[in-house]
Amino acid sequence: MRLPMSARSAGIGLVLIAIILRLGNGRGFGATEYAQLTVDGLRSGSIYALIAVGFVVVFNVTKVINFAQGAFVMLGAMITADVYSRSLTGSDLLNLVIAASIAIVLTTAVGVVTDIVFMRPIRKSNDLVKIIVTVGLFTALEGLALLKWGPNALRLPAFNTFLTDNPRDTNYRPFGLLVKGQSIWIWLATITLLIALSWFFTKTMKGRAFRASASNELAANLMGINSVAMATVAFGLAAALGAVGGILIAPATAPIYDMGLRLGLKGFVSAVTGGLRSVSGAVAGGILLGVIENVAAGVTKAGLRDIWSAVILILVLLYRPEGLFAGKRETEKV
Amino acid sequence: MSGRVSLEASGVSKVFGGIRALDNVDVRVDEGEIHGLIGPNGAGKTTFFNIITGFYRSDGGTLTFQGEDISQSTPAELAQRGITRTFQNLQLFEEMTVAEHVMVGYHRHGTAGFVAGLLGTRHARQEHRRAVEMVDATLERFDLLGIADAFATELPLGHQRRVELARAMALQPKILLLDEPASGLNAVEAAELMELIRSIRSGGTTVMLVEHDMPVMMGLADTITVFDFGISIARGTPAEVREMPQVIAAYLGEETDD
Amino acid sequence: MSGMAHASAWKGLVGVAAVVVALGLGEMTEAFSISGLTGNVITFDTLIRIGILVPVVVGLNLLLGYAGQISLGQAGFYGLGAYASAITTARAGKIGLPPSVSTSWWWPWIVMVVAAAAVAGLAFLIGRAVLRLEGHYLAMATLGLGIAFFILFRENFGIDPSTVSLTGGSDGISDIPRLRIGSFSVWPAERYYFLVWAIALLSIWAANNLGRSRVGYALRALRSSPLAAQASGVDVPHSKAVTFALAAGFASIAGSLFAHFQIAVSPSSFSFAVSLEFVIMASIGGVASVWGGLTGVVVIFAIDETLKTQLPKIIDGPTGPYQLTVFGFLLAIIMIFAPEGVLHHFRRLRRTSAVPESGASS
Repeated sequence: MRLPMSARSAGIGLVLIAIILRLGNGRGFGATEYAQLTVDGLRSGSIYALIAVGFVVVFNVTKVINFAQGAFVMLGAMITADVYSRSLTGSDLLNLVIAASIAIVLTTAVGVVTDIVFMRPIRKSNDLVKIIVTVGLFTALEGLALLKWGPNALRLPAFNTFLTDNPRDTNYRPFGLLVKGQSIWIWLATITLLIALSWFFTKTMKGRAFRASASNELAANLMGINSVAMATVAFGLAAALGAVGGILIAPATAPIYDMGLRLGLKGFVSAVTGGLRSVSGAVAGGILLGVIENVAAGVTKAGLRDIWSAVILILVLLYRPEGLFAGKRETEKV
Repeated sequence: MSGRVSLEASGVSKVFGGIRALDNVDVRVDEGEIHGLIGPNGAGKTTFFNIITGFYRSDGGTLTFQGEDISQSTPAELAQRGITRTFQNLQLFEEMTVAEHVMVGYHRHGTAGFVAGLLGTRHARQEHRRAVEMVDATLERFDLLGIADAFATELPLGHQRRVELARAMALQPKILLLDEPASGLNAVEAAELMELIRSIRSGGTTVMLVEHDMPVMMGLADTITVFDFGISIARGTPAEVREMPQVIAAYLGEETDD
Repeated sequence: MSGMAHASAWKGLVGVAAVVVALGLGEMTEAFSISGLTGNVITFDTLIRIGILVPVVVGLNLLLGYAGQISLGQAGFYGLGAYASAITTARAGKIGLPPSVSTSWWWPWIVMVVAAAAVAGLAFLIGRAVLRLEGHYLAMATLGLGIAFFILFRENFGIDPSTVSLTGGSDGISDIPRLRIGSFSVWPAERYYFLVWAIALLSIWAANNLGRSRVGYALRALRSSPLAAQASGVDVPHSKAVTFALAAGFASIAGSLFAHFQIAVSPSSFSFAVSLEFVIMASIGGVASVWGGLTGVVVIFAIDETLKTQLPKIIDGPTGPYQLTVFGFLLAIIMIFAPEGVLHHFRRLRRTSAVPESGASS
């Protein structure tokens, strides 16, 4: 049963690659073009990874697919752009730091409130109810953002512009490829954050309690871990991660009130691709999605970019519902 | 009573994450008997039930029902063939009345599908009317007529167990698997239950029973298979089983309550 | 136990049909005009819009209330129906349909039925695969699917528009013909009103039939205990997938009706926000209720109209954002306080206040 299944997913992967190469051929793509598409894909992929980790953290502790995750991303980006534009101090760099800090704190607060006010009362309800509530919250947050910031996109300069005199983002050209300065920022921040997260989960008491709560709520309760509080921590953490993702991507895509749905879906697809339970799986899923999506958009049509995540989602659900990077689990059902 | 084999498992195994929950289990249930499974907690009795009823796939061995292989069948297919069960943790339907529970149990006797249902065809309506009559008969048999319109999830435990039993019997199964039907019942209710199970058997249904309540088990079972740590260690009549040293060592000599 | 339910459902259907006819005739003769809390006169336009959505929400209700699953991409199926109707009529020449077929009166009707069947078939295939899994994978799969369809509509299905413009991109398709029966046009509005509501009532009638059938009981059972339903012989994944297919088919028919009503379609009518609105409507109507679909649509339309007419009196500027916010919180709050649906909640209250009758099982 296992072998034909994985053989089938491998086969589907090969067919997809063949289709991509065929389409790329038609456009005269060579190794450089694919490398460029991959590098650009790694950039959005890193953001998806951060968002995906947010999904995984909440899912593991509460068994909720938090559809509001995309709204956290949007809030991070919008609040940063808004506060930055007020130029609170004379230094642009300081303004950015202040804006980003405020955005992370506020978004985390929104995450915490989401759990305490909306999710706690339905802790015992069925999953369907929880999912629909998070969908409602997503919509409400989007509505509030539209109220506050209107239907037009805000603007946040690339981070390199604060360090150089160049008013536009720096372009690096290693090996004949084009790498934006913002990409470097995104990668550095993502890696730092993931290392910090892994330290939190393995080395700190709170992090361990968190993992215990995620793997077995009852056992964790018996050990004196408050799983209700852990759910709040999970929502706060997910919101913070989402906000950071939003802040990092803000210079690349002008932040707008409805950016959350798209990014939330990408993060979610990444998490599912990674198996929805493992943080490392989610990161791998995010990077994979970023690259596949960018290459696929490159060889077909830019307008179709957002369709690939849906295609991948359906394929994963059909052929590897336990995720690409997770072993198959047999659960006790009765 | 014909002595024909109803259900036969030989060499059935089940592994959960490296742990062998069942290891080469052999069980033979004859038609018309009440066959008990006993063993300490974690001996694999419920896992075995889950394999027979298709909720788990076995990792080895053969499983036949009336001589035919059933190891690859789904629970629904098995129910269609006349194998059904009750659950240790009651599985009642929310927002459904007692009568509606029995109605669901009657599902396998009908044929009207989605299209007939949507269009409300004559066939679907007639079938529904027949089902309602059958439901009433079953309710009467299980003394549930008085609470036919109550929501099953809001009833006391003893009633709920009876609803589960009535639902399972509405299938008119060839073999009925009961997973700890007496747990949580008081002595009076347990005695009533034993009467019901006997009447089910005399109606021609083979019964397989997992039960921790020893008086109930010993009073009902014709044959008992003893499980210990995933292995079937003995088989015999209640009187024989009670005397077996390995059984006393494995089970009866120890604490039997949970 | 069923006779009573049967009779009351029929009475209800006849009642609603009577109201529909009365409203229609009232509007036509201008004998009266209904001005409710919305301050607006309810027009044929509004009544038709409500009627079009009834099958969508009735279908979604079957899925939510019976199979216990949710689709977050129902607007995609709705859109597929609409675009199928639009493309095969207004774009018939571009896809090589002979005019003798595409301009005949029966063609749009055939498209409506065939599109619904095809959409249902597609949904069944997806559902059959996804619903094997426990949990709410369908919610996620449909979310992705809905967005995918939206993009396909917007991006002309990925086909280069200079060769053939199937969907017309963001602008969509216009000049969709009105429906006809022979030489009888189902237009002006009052004619379309009766058509739309006939189909709406038909969908309620069918859902009601299904609810009282063997399949209906099986579906209600599998929602709360798939284990026991399987042990009773119910093929759970199959039943869920068929219900999902039904809901998709209903949505497709509504989409076709929408296309021939608007005589123009564009992607924005089938966005995620629309899927979300459908979910809200279904949630208000709630669990396993014949009237859930209708109630949900009417209530949301009423709230929508009220917000549209009342908000500008309080607030300057656009009111869209407020509606989005209100709907979002509304959905969350309904789910927290009345997860089985608001309508259900009232019924339940009535039921528990009555003493259960004894022995009354037929």
